[in-house]
Amino acid sequence: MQQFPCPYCGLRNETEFHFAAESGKTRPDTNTPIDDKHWSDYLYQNYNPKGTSKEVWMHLACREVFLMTRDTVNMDVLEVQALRGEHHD
Amino acid sequence: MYTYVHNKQEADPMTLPYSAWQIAKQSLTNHKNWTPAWRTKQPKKHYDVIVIGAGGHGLATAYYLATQHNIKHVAVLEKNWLGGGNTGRNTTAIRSNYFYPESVALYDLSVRLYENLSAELNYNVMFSQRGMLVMAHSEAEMEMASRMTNAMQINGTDAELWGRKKTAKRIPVLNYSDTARYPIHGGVWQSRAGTGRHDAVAWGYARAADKAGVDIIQNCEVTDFIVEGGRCQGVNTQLGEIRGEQTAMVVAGHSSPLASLAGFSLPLHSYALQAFVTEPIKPVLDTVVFSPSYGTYVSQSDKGGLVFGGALDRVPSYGQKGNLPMQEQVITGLIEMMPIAQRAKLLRHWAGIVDVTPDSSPLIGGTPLPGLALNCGWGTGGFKAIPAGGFLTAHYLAKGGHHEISKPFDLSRFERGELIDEGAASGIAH
Amino acid sequence: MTSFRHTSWGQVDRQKSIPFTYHGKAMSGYAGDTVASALMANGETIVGRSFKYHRPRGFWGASWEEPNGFFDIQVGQQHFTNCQGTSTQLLAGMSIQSINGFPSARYDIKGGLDLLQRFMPAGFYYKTFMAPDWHLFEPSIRHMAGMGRLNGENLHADSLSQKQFRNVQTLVVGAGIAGLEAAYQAAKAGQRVLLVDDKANPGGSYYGGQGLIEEQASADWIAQRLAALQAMGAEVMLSTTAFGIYDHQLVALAQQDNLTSTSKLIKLRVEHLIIATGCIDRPLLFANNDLPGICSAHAARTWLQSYGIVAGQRIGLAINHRGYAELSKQFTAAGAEVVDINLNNGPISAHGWRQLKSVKQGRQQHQLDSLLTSASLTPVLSLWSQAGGQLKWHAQWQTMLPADGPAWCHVVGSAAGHFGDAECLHSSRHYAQRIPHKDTAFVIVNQQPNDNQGRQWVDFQNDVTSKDIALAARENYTSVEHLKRYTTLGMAIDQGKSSNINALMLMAECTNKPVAAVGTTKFRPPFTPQPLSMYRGKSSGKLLNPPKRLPLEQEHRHMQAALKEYGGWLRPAWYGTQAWDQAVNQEVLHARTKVALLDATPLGKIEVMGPDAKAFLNFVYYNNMASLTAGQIRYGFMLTEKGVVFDDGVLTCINNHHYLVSCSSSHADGVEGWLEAWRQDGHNPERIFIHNTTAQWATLTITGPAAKSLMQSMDWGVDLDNLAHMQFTQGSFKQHPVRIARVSFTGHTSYEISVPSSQAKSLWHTLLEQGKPFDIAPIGLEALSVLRAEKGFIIIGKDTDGETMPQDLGFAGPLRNKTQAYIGDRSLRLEKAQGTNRQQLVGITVNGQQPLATGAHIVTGELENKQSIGYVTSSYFSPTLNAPIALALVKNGHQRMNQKVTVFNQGSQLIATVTQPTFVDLEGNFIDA
Repeated sequence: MQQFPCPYCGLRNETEFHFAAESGKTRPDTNTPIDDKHWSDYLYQNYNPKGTSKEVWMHLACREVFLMTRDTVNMDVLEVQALRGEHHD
Repeated sequence: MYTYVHNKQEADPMTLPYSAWQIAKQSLTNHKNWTPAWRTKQPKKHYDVIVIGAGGHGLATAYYLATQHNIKHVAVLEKNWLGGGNTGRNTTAIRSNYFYPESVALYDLSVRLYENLSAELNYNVMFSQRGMLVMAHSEAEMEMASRMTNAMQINGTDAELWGRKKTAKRIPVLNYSDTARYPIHGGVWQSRAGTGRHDAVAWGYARAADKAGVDIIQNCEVTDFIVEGGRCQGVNTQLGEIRGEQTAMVVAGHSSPLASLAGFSLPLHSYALQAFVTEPIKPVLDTVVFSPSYGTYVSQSDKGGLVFGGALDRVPSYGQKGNLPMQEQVITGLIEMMPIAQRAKLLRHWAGIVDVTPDSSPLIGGTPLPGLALNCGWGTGGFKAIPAGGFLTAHYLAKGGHHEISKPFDLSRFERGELIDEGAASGIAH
Repeated sequence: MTSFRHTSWGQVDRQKSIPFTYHGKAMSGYAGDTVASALMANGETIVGRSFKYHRPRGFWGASWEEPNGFFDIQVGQQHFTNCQGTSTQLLAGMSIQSINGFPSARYDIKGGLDLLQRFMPAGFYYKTFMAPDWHLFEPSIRHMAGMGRLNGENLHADSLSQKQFRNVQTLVVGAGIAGLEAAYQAAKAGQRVLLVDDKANPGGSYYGGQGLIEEQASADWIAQRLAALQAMGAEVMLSTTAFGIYDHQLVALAQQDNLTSTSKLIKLRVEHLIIATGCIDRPLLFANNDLPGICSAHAARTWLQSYGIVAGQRIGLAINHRGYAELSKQFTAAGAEVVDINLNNGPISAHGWRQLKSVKQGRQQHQLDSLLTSASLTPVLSLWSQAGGQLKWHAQWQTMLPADGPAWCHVVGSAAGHFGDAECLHSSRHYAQRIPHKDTAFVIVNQQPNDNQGRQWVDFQNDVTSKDIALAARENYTSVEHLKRYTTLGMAIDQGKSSNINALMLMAECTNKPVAAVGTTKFRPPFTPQPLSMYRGKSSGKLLNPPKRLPLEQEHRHMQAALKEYGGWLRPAWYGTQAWDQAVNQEVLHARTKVALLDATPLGKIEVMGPDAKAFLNFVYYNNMASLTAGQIRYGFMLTEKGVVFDDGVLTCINNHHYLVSCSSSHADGVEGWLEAWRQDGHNPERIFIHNTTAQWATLTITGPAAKSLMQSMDWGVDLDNLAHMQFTQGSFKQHPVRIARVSFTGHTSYEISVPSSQAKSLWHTLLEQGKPFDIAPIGLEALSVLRAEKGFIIIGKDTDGETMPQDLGFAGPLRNKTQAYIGDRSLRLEKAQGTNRQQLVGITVNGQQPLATGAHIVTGELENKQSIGYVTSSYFSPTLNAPIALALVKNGHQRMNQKVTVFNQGSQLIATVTQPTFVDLEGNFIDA
């Protein structure tokens, strides 16, 4: 049972969290032409790093989405960051 | 559907053939004259094909290159010890109960190759076709089971739709109580499905590949790819540079880090998949049973342990170890599904790192780097596909293009949106 | 072995006799006995049979390291299998059977298998049983294998376990002197301390001993430390095994007082872990070292101190180190004759049939009934290794010691190689530091294999000998993991606790490598086997994934509803006691002719508010929602980015800043999460607010030709005369807010009436009462399924699959016309999405009265070349039409209207016709009937 620090609620059990995606993916503007490759990269490609990984997570209990940097080998949580600019204490 | 070269086993003075007679003969000399199952080799400077990863798929690829395509200058490079990744960590189910014709063609090829594998490799892989039931727990799930059974029958593999009565008669140890959380209505039965001895599959392929002239090199980690003229020309390793006309990466959960060395990314996430075994007990279950509702599957090994598992852990991971929440969920499901298990004790649990694609179907074929092919993305079910995965990867490498069966599983399917999403089709996670 | 009970030694209570039976024979032990000590006191010597060769075996270990003595035990109605004799407390009334031997371990008819050992070396089964077919051999091999027998009777008698979350600052594992001292130091330093030990008594190897600790009687020293710990508020938990280390410093503890008591799984979060788990003996390798009568020296001492069991009358000591200086004296004092065997004088071999009779060393022969052995001491480092700690080979001491490891873990005492008392306590006093080892000449001689006198056993339970390891090496299974898997070494119930190091040393010798280069196997949890029932806790039956319950469940039950689970909710399937199909037909006809009442409470109700709500929803929905105005309702799809239909439902515009998303009942949580993710990641979350109110509002639907009249006959605080289909209004119901939406899932005039959940009962009874003149009747989900299928309304996940896009369902408008971006849009423009060969929603009709099977496939081609082009997703008998109807997804189905197709189901085929997916009221007149 891992524990993750929700930026809003503090340290909680992993079962309260949902892994959404790797961070850094921006949705292409679909009103402009996008080739199939670009679109499938957005949909499917991952770095899936072994080691430090920056990811988007949701704390299901408060429904807030945040960024978490983890080590995918030893499971250390390195940093969490609220998605919004301002931090809600 | 596929052509297969039936090679005669060549006599090799270095390798004693295995048989009951041979054991009797060797027992006279106290088993002092058995030969190595595979030899320890030093890498040569150059190979026709370099296979990275001596798991089942990698070893099978090398074996089929040598035996089906007469490509003998093949090296299999292994970071640790052969068969030590998911091949040696899975729960050994072999089956082809899939919905789409593309999947059935792939996995049924595998089952058919498995059916003859012990004889072919002269190594008992103990493929036990004890049958597998995917359970349905409601009328709605029975309708899905019916859809699945029909699809399998139409696609040319064996399947039966079982009702509650038949299930209870054949597998009496399950929970048929009306107060069970998920009452048993029946399910999809595949009689040719079963289990195999996972280590033996790796060792059998290793021994046969070695005999066919393949160099298996353990404790040889690939540190980088040699790229010249926009083409992969081999690899750098702990043991120095090794060049190859072609290179194939067959490293399952560790595909993404290797791909990033080669300069591209893949549509994969790596997760820990846990497996569990109880203390050995006298036989109580002689088939494989899977319940999507309980999220648990179970069989009993020849040694007597209940071997079981469930879904992926919820956190992407390269840590090859288990985690409690999924254990509690899987074991709870197991007991509710098979109440007698509550009196068994957990002996050991472990995890493998599985590489999961967006459609949970594998990747076979080329990569963005010419000269480098791949075989990965088997997710939770790579073991059952070892012979087919090796056979098709070898074909791709030898012929420079896909076999009919592997064509739909090319990396390019994502660009075309032509996913083969079994989970979405059948409502059953594969 | 002629072990016996000493008249006074040991910690058992001789005043309390504990009766039990062994293979039906009445025996008795004392309170404080284990099953093993009680059997030894009763003179049982052969207590187990090995897995493969069925060799006779006696007790070898003190506790969880025991490889030989396992039992099936019945107590009252409960049955336990594979119980380790040395770690199972004796309880009154136990009926004990040995396992893997028939009729018993003592007289096992399979004992003769050992004569065939020559033909069964390690891994022999990989080399044979191939021809003609493995399936011919497997059944008898399975029959032979397995240890204990699971008994499925009276499962209800087993108590449900408990689960607990806890945390402490410092956990100390092991309450021997090292653990007691470390816990004392930690508590003194102000730490919140928990000390656990798997035994029922503290003191470790000093429990029951007569020795001195720091010049004080050991019992007094232990009592003083315990009292001091208690005074400082530290907690001591006995009969508690720390069996696993998991991520983020979680230690899993299993607490169980005895075999039949309720077990508890404690998930303990710790800041510091102090491992004081001690050490066990490494078996001495010599010919026939598995004979009953040969045991671990540590075990024999424990038996003596704890239970007053003297291992034999003539006891030999074959101890290869200086760790048991007092042992000879202890056993002499206990009344045994003791022979010290000096291992410097050459290898020894054991002799005897079915039990030890003598030990030979060169020309010397000692008549012995018991031999206490220890090749070296093996620190117990499973937890350390699980936590990520490294192990390092100490060549001189022939043992593995802890090396680098995580900063939050410390190993103290003999587990860290501090074998003497003084060193041990010193290491505990400075537990946070790495204390260097005293460089003493600890081990006396290197092992000298001598296998011409007999086999040398490495793994007792799984019958792995030194020859098997040599064979593995010869065949190049030299990696530790290959060795283990090929020979099955360390895979038995004891998990190789005693066999591991010997195997590594033998493999090093066979391959001419240093032991360190052979490597170590991974220690995997659990440290000792744990009952599966412990992991389950109380999640059994209805308490496992409990379904959601309706506020009106009692009302439905009162009306004899058949309650079934739909999308995680327990809902009425139909009402009444008649056969289900009659009930459903009747309910369908009622809804089509009169007025029906349906509990639609589970319908997802998610409110989206704020200035950007409209633009956000227009992005989230496939359909154009930007043009929706206050009071309007529109049906729409949500797609995934893959363009696949993920949910359908209606969107209500309450006002320009306030919308109500209504989604499938099983998807409410999923849709809410989906909306939240897009709100926060891609939109301005300050301008959109999302609130899932599914549980706050109860929704009742009335539907049917008389629905409008019924509604008009009641006071809703708002005029409903002009409320048209797909319009929304708010009123009041008995001073409570009410939301009324005219949407229909049956095709007939329908009103969805939502009130606060607290008012659900009141609304239900009012509608039934007011509806009497209109002959109102409740209908269940099965009737609703038929009603909606008659109109061709889909259920997501049933009539769609993971590839279905909106155009496949006949909704191509937005794809052509919508100009703003929306989720999934780009995927709809892929070539595959635009292709003509997509599976599309159609209707299917057949002659006769028998509905098609749901799950039947529509096929083309004959026999072997048969191909599926789709399948039946919904199929019912329509009482409205008095004919069967079906919905199906069929490739290119929209182009196949009125074509005959072949439908395949479970081997049989019939001919059907493709139709539009609407069967009744094709003109849409019902909606305003």
